[in-house]
Amino acid sequence: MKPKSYTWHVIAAIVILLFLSTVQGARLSGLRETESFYRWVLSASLQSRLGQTLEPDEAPDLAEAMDEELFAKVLDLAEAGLPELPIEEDDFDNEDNPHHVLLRAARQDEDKLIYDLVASAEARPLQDEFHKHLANNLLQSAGTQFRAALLYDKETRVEGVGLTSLFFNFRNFAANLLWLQVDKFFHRGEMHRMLPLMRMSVALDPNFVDAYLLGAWHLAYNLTAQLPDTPEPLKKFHPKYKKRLGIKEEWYYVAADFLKDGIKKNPRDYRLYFDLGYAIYENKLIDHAKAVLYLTDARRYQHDTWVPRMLYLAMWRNGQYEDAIKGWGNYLEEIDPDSIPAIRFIQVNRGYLAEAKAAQADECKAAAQAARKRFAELADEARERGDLQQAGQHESEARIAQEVATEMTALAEEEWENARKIWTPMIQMDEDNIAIARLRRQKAMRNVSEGRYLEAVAELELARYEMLQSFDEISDLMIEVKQKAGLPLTTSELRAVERHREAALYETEDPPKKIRYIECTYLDETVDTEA
Amino acid sequence: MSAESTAVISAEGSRSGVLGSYIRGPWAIAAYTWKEGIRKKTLLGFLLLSLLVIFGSTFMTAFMASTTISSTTANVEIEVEAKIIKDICVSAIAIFGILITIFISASVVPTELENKVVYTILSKPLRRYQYLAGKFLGVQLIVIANLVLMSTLFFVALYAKEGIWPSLLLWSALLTYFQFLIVSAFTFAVSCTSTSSVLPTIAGLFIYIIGNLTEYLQDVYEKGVESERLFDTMIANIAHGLYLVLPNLRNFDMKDQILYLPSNDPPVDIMIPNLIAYGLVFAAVGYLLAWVLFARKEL
Repeated sequence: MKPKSYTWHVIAAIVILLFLSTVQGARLSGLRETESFYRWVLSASLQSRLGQTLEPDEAPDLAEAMDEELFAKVLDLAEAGLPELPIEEDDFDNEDNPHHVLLRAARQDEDKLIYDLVASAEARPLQDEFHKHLANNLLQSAGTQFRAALLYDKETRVEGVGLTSLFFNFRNFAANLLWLQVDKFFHRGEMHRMLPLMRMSVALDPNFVDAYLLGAWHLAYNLTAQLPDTPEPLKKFHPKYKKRLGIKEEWYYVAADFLKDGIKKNPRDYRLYFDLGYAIYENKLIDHAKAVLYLTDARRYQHDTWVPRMLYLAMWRNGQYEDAIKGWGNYLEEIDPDSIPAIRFIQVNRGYLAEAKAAQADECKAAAQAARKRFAELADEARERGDLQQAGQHESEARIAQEVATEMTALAEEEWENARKIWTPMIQMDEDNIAIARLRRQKAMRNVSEGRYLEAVAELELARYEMLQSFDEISDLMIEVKQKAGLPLTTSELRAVERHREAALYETEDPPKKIRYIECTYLDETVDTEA
Repeated sequence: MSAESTAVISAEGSRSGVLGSYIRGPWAIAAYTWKEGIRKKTLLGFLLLSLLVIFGSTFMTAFMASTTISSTTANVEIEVEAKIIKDICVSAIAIFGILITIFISASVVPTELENKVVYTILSKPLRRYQYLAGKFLGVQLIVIANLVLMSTLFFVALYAKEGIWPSLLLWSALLTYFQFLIVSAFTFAVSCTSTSSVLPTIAGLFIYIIGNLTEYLQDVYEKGVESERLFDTMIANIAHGLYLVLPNLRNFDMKDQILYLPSNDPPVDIMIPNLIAYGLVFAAVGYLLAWVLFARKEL
């Protein structure tokens, strides 16, 4: 049959539409690439803001990672391309410098601004660079959320094309089936077989947040529950974490890394931050500062009411009493005006703050007295040399130090008294165990200052059983008091001393910076100031 | 059925003028295609099976919960169950939806060629492209109705588990429809060349598979351009050309972004209208191809 003339028109229309579909297909490809780049920029901004490195792996066979270099270029682009954004309370780093505008934009959920920036013509070369590095497996901060084929290249070293295409649209389903297998292994007690499957499961479905949560929990809690503690000399140094770790601690870090991977891929799910902050850093690694960092981020996204509560508890344990008081105050105002824990912990934090100020005032007093003595000696030396001007200057400094010491004595007395005024009603009203323990501890310290060591030890003995959260801290204090008084140590105390001695030998990190609650020029100038 | 349909078309044609017949004729065809389609036992079988899987997903997770809930916090487990329900249901909708789409698209024209109904219809004042438009529209009505039914049961299952209406999934269902639309259009085009529905059904399955494997062509291209050999480069370029021309059905898989990212996620907002346009352009290509093939058919 001879085609009619309109058939050719239809064929022409088909050709035009095919051309249009090709253009649209190319446009979609471009949009997908921009989307990958955008998600990487968001994820890298988040990691950067949380102080994490973008190139954490230390695999010897891995080519040089390009994450930091590429992200630095993105930061430069953002500097010029993003409008100036307000600097809010959470927009400061550890050194109190404001975060880069891109990091602020990511934290303030200015997604449209960031997307427009990465989709702009100026960002095109960076986008190309990103995809080139991604194809060459040079970006460690990017993972299977962009190309699931990376899973095979990276973990099983199968060279070739993206095998995951074979899953069609059912990758999530495959991830679920793998997860069921993980669950089966857990119930059989074959914990060692769980990790590869867990990794595979979340690689197939990077948005499987529950797998990250349960997986990390299995690793940090169930698996380690059966492991013994590693003696200090047998611990190994891990360059990645810059710490000496035993078997248990290694698994805690594996769990933390697993959750961090989840955060990279799901940067706005509060549960990942919460579990990392509370379940791992707060309860397992006992790193309160990191716990506060991640719990603060958990609170930023839509969250359950226990998130701020755990954050304020972590702040308390980290010595951020003023922040905790403010937080609990907001909790009473905004969430639950009758919250008994909030009312209690405001008082507890006030008590701790008063004690911390008193303790630092005592330290400052001692430092000021030492300074006064030193200046007096210098003045004497200057006078002997005949340098009366210098002597006068030192005498003046000694006088100032004496005034500070006097002022600090008064402040310490006042703050100890404040603490007593907080603890006493708490004991009278509720027999609050924290208040009882703190008051006993305070009494013990007074006994020590008056030379009544046996009574001090007796008070501390009672205090540590009142408040089991502080058992180790008070036990260490008891050892200190006994050593000062020359009293014999028990076997467990001798063991504790030995453990501390061993740990000190292998200490690789600088001790955490102390928070300063009062102004004192005679104390170490490098410590932080909370106020 | 055939007598009923021809009578409807005849009445429609006589009642209206030329302009009216342009619309009413295809609509009448679509209406009887719909009536015919919903009576097909194979489609009903697929639909019932899919509803069974969607409904059964809640029982499956209930069984799993008994093994896991004691081991961990109840909250997370409930969320895992909800996720598994979502994934099972979305997979069921995708599998059965595509099977329904392929079977119905592959059979509507060949069946009428086989039982000669098409000769009676085309003897009426109805052009071939109008007939095809009506058939294609009827197919889409069936596909949409099935998708709506499956999605509704899915939402009910999810509501029973989570207590909230997953309104965001509507976007996911919409994009799934446009994926079906492309497969349907090309299967429909193939069916216009055949007198039996077997060949177009197989072709439809291949279209779906190829549509899901086009990213493989991009991988071939990327690997090919890395090599400096002429043959590899040539293969890479062919693969890239095919990648651009063939519909990429993986583009429509945005369920995760829609479900897990904020509702105003910029890439998702931009992708959705672009994907709809992409689906419509390919559907138009498929329909016009069917037009050309059917126009050349000896009837």
